[in-house]
Amino acid sequence: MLEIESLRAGYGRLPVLFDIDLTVDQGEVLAIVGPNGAGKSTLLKCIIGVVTPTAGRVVFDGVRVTHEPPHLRVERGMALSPEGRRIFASLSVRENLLAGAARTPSDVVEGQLERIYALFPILEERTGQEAGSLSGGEQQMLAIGRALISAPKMLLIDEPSMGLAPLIVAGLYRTLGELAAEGIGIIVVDERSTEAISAADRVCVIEKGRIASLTASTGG
Amino acid sequence: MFDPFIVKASLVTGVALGALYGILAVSLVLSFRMSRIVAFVHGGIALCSAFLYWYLTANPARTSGHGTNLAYATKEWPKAPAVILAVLLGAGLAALFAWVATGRMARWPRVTVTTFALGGMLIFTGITQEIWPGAFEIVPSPFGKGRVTLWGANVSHHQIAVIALLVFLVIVLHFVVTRTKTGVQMRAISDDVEAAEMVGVPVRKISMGVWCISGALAGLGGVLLTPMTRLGASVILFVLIRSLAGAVLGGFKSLPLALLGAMLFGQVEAHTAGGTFGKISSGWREVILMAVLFVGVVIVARRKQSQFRLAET
Repeated sequence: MLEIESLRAGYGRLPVLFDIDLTVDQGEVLAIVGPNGAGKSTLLKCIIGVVTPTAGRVVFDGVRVTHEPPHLRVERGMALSPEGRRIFASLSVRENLLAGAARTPSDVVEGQLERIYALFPILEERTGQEAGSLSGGEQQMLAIGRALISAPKMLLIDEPSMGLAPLIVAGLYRTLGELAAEGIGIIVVDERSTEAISAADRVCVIEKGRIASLTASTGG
Repeated sequence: MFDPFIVKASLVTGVALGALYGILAVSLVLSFRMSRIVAFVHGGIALCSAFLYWYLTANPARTSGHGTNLAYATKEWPKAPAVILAVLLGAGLAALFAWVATGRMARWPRVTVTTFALGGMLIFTGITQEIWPGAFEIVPSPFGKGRVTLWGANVSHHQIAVIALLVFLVIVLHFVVTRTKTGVQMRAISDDVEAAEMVGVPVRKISMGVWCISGALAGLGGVLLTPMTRLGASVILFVLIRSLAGAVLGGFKSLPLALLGAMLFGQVEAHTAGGTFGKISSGWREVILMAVLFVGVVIVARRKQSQFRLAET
């Protein structure tokens, strides 16, 4: 479903990623781990289109999307839950969810809203509340919910466990497993690698912008 | 103590003045919410649109320098197509500015882009001064010369139309911003432009659209302003400063509050100039207006601080 070939990227003259080759299939969970500054988040930004690669290509569902803007990639079925949650603090919970559905048909949005509220019931309770007033765990649920609203085929999640209690993290990874079982491809980048590795089918280690290893997960 | 006739007349003039300031204030708030810059360029856009409208509609026999070789050969078109063209010019100029500000400059420091907006205003002003040097003209109203008496005050059709138009525009824009999907995306961009991009909001398209609307409003503001005063660079830039103050009182966030801020300024200006409090010199009028702005800014800042404290607890 997602193919990344010989991808290079950076910020200005600073190269960050070198010759990344990866594939992710439907229903597969790929965990990307590695030290801080290795280029994990930059890779996700390249896949969603916020960072433009300097070389290589990104192919999604057989279509080359390397230079497409992010909103077109979301329309094709990709979605990102970014590092640090980046929820829209002054918008309500429901408005945050709708912001992720810029070009999604309204019948799909209604269906997804029901699904998200079923996955994270607290979001339905807080639907009219300003998102900036949610707790860290609730904000993380909202960020994942916002990524799910467009009914993506490929979900990219950056640091889902950052700042969360272990019990909430376990719940989040259970949810990711359920989503993968429904056929959604998932790439998860996480500093807390034990949970990520446990939930993943394959594990990719990135060091200094290069893939150091790519192996099947042993389940933690 | 107060002369009721003067108070009524000032009240009506104040509402009309406030409405004029309000149109530019609303355009400033819209562009600020999209790009986090103070769009001084709207002053230049308003000026260009006002000059175009005057050039297309004015009677050449009533322009300055008539009968000499310095007279302007204005076109005497019907008003409606001239208003449309002037508003379209405003939208086009804003799109041109936004193409740079939301493209190449999208991630530049906001103060740099605000300075660029100030430069844009000076460029547009310079161009109009080059095409129509020294013009300080009387401009015909798109709504004719008619007048009516309202609550004992003599009011022009132009003033009534400006107020009605502004209230209509604010209601429509407020509805779009707070109740529609596009409005949600606009506010998402306003909150965190990179996050909005990452979750699939078509940031460039929406920003360009909002800039075009705010430019069209600035153009409309220029067209509606000049029949109440005269057409000249200094007049429009003077109004821009008042509108800016209205936007500041609205915290550069809320359209209705920006309108309220502009109305407040209009009232203070009309009552101090109209003689409600006796004769006040133009210098003191400025001091009073700026004092009102200062108090307003302090109130807005204190309200934000208390909201911040509330969010922290």
